[in-house]
Amino acid sequence: MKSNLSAWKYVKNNRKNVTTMVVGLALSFAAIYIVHMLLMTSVESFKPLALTQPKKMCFFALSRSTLDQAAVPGAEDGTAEEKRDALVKLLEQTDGIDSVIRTQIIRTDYRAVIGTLSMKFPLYEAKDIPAFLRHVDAKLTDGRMPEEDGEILVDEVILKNMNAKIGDWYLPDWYGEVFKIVGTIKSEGMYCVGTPKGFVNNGWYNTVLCDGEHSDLESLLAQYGIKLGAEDEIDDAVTNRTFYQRDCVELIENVVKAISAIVMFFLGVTMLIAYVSFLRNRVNEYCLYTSIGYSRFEVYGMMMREMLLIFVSGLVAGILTAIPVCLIFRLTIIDPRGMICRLLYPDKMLQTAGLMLFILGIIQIPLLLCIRGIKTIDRLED
Amino acid sequence: MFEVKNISMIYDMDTDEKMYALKGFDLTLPDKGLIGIIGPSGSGKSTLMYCLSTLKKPTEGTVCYNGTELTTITDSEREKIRRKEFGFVFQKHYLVPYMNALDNVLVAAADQSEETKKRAKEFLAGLGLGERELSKRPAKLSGGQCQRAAIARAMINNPKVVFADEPTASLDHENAFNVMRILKSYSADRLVLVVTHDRSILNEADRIIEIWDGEISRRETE
Repeated sequence: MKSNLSAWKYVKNNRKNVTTMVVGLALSFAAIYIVHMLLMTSVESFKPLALTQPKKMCFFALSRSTLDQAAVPGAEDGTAEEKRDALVKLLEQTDGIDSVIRTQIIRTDYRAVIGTLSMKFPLYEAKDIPAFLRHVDAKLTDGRMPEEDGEILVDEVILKNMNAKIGDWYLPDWYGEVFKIVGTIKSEGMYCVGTPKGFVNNGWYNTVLCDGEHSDLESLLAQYGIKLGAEDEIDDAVTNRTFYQRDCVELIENVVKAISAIVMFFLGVTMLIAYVSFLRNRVNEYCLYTSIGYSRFEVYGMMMREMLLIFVSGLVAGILTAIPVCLIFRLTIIDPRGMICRLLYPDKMLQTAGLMLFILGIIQIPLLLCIRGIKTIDRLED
Repeated sequence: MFEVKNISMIYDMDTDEKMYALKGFDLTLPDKGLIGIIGPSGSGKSTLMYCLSTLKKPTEGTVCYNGTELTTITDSEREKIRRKEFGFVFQKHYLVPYMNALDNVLVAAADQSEETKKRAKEFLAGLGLGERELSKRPAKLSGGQCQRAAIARAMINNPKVVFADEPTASLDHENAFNVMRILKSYSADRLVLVVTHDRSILNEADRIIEIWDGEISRRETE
């Protein structure tokens, strides 16, 4: 005989209770998702700078003591300067490296929701800048190319993050001079470039313009007899990837995990308490069902279907709440501040849904205890 | 229909002072008719009804229903018999509070077809619950209306036996007699067992069995 124990009847006729549970689940889901999306804005924003940019542009700065001890082929007995020049020539002869130029650099801080990334950009002679832009696939989108000393082109996104506009003056942290922003550029790696003030090609940094496959400077330098020390600075694809993965992705993911765990713990406890009270209020109903011939399995099936309906509704409501809220954050906070975000994280949705299913699993404990304890009405009336 | 032999029901089996709710008697019940089981509180009349309806398993003795020994079958078979062949009216109506009167009847139905819904409405109408009451929840119905909905629930599958345990306990006199009239009418071709301590409602019973201290003290036939 077909079971007529419908889960829908409870849901339809107890809108207040069901709505409370659905809203609780939806808000928990939305809270986790929105916090995740906001924190992941740092990960998404830093990605072009840490992963894309170094594929085409790296920096290295070697200390005098490192160069003194280095056995650079062709300049084994030379001075530190001679060794550096020989090293530059060797690097430029390497396949995949376009140029290695001694440049000054300036730094700018790129701020995300959590954390700040200090990025370097090189200062070239004005005539070399078009070649640089070609190398990094950047296009001038507004303003003009630098013509005078102390003029810079800034990536559109970075410019927003700096809360600046064309024509503004920019004072880098330690350069000691102000630079004028004369144009914006657009590229995948969010590059900036400019002209130095007064001196050219005399910086301590070596800017390496390379392709994606030759951006592991540490290995390349080792091939040419350079043993890096603590005073040397390498800013290449490998160091950036390591920093990005360890100090950015893992750190933020751990924070998100901790927040998710806390929210889920409180949600789990609340759901458990609410569900136990929900079961207690319906003992007579369950007893009636078993008395008139429904099996405990059929009653359990109905209860599970009710819970699944509530959980799925909570999940859908959570998604429908989280996405528009994320969109509002994106339009009002993230985009105007030159940060980058993603609205959809299917893996996080699945993970949160999985955690909710885990809570549903915990709820099985009182549910199964209740099923075991269901009596027939004769016991209630005894 | 029912063949009861040497039925005993002992509560507190593990203690020294055993309490006999039923003390080993035989009983045979027919296929149809209104049978009243009467006795004071604690006499064992409800226990007998629960043993007959498979809700309780007697400590000793056998209960045979249409050739099936009810004390030896599995829980699942008992559930099937309760669902297909028996209908129940309890002391309290036990209507599901969040369902309306119609849904409370349909929850016991074998199917949810339009035909069943129509039959449920007819049942309720026949029991005096109008179209307006069908969509009301138990809290909005009177005690009599609730009990009548519970009777409709018991009858929706056209069960061969209706067990009614003090069906009029929470009703006023007029409603009590209305309920008994309905049960009497149903008993024309089915068996209706009414457990009560109120002899006045059994005026139309085909047979009255009086139970006292777990034993049948008198059997009356009209």
